[in-house]
Amino acid sequence: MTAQARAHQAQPKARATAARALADELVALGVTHIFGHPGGAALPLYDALHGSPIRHLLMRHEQGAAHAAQGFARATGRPGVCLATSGPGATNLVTGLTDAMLDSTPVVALTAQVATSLLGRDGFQEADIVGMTQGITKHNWLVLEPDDVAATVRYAFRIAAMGRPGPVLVDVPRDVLQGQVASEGPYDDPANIADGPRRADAVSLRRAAFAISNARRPVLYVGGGVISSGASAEVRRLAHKTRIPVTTTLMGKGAFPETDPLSLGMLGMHGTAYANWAMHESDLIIALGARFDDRITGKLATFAPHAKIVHLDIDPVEIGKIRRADYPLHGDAKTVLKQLLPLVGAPHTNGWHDRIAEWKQKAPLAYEQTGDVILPQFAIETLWKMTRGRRPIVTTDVGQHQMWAAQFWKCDEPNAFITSGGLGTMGFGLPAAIGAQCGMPDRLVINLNGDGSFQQTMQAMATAVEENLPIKVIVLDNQNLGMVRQWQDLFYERRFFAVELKNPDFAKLAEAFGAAAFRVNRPEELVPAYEAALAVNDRPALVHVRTDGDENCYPMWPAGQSIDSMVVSCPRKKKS
Amino acid sequence: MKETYEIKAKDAPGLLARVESIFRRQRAPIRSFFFEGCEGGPVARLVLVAEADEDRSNLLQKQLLRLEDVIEVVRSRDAAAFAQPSFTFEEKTA
Repeated sequence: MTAQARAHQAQPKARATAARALADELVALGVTHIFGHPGGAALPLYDALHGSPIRHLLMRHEQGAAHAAQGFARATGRPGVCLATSGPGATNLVTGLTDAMLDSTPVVALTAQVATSLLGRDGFQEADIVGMTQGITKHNWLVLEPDDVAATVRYAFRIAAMGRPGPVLVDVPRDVLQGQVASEGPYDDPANIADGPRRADAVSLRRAAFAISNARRPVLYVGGGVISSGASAEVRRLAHKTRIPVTTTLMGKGAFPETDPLSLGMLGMHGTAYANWAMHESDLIIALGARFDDRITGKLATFAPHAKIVHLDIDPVEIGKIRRADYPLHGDAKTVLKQLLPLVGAPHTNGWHDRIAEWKQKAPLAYEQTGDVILPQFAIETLWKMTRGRRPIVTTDVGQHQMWAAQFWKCDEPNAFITSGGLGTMGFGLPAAIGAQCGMPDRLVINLNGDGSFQQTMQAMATAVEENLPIKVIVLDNQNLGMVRQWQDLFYERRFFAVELKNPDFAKLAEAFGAAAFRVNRPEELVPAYEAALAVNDRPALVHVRTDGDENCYPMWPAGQSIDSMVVSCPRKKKS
Repeated sequence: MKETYEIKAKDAPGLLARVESIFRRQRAPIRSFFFEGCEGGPVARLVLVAEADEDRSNLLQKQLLRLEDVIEVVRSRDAAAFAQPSFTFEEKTA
């Protein structure tokens, strides 16, 4: 606890209300930042937070508050906290909470509710947020007794972080927040609640180790669970000990260094061709904290037809959910990999590595930057080369730029590539960057964004300016909803509809918010603009990059199709 | 194919909705339902009969166990297996 926090707790408690007890509990839990937006029902809690050592960031929309909490959590590994008032404030959190659920991100959402006398009577700004969020949270609570408020929040933090992390929501009516509490803690530490097994059983381990040691064409398939577990070092050790090639999911980027020769990069719909071919030809897939998402498998019936599956996951629901696991390992990735490491030997994979090297040569990730029009891949890779020595944390939004970032932004460490994976939420990137910068104030935080997605939550720029956050926002402006356009191009006979964007001048817009801004129209202007943006340290800087609106993202296979239908690259098509 | 599930859970607000939503998302229609609370106690017993094949039923069981309120799930193709509770209400919650 900081000196400021101790001083806050030592203040005379003029009103021993549940709201005050909750504010004190948040301090005691080590909360440093809250991303929120006030409103009538939430005022008792906001009043209790007045003078608190917790830094409150006034988001301009609650969706941004939830995404900022996600960004904080993903960068730090600690639960992020968002706060909203009743009714529309609470319902605006729903997209962010769903995103956190799909991507297993620990987020604690605090919502105020109308007074208990109005509950169920359609009171002003009443919404049944507990009912609405039951399917998109690990758990949620409507707290009706002042004495239960702080203890429930402590419990909620534990639930959010334990096992497979995820979002939780605590809803408290206004009059309950204002109610007097009989006790002011300390509350029972819920550390002893059931957390599921962390270690795998010995028999399963030995069977899996034998399969790994005797495979001929093995692949390590690494997902976000490895990052949540803090198991990146163990994955590196396993890969280097066994010399098994590694492919990562979008959520697993950074769990294994992508500049390592054993890395195959990202797999899946827009993954590298060689990662997908390796999975297809593999005789043993070792899935670590990954869930065989449909963007990975494509048509399930033809996915990795020769492979046996080792599947390690902390969530037993995931094991065998999509693809039967021949060697299930239920437990925490870090703990189980530590158990597994001494048991495995290096399989004979020389021929396998030769095959993969051929594939890498045959179908590398590539683009050709010629002429005056900037390719988005070039814009992304140029910035990666300029900043790779500074250990940046990058957040992306959703769309074509996200997939190009996944391909060309080589991530070498965990918690440094933050994106919306499962839900694919446009509007995620900018507020997530705000959260990441708050959690990691000394790191360079870059948000790679698209013109469509930036406009979904761009009002968060006001918060970034207000808080003097030196985030770098790169808006790759192709004047289109690029990924939708790409699908219309490839699968709807180029009948482009509702995808062309008449955009504002993003640089002027950023300046209007109070951020530094730079424009890039030609390839040679990129580096100077990036240098200028990187030199800004007292406020956000936005770089508006005009890019080719006709560029499609490859490799790609159509949704639900098999790897046979993968298009590795395609001749450029000009807009009709 | 009909499967019967006996669920032991903390008797908390929202329990039924949470359980029902698991079955709904798996498109496993609930055909009958029995709820038994313990007067003043923390544990409830639910017995549900739903349509689900073996794979889906296995997934349902695991997803039910993921719910914070749920303590134990037993399933059987034989509905008569749960004519009597397979646990006692005196047991403590986890």
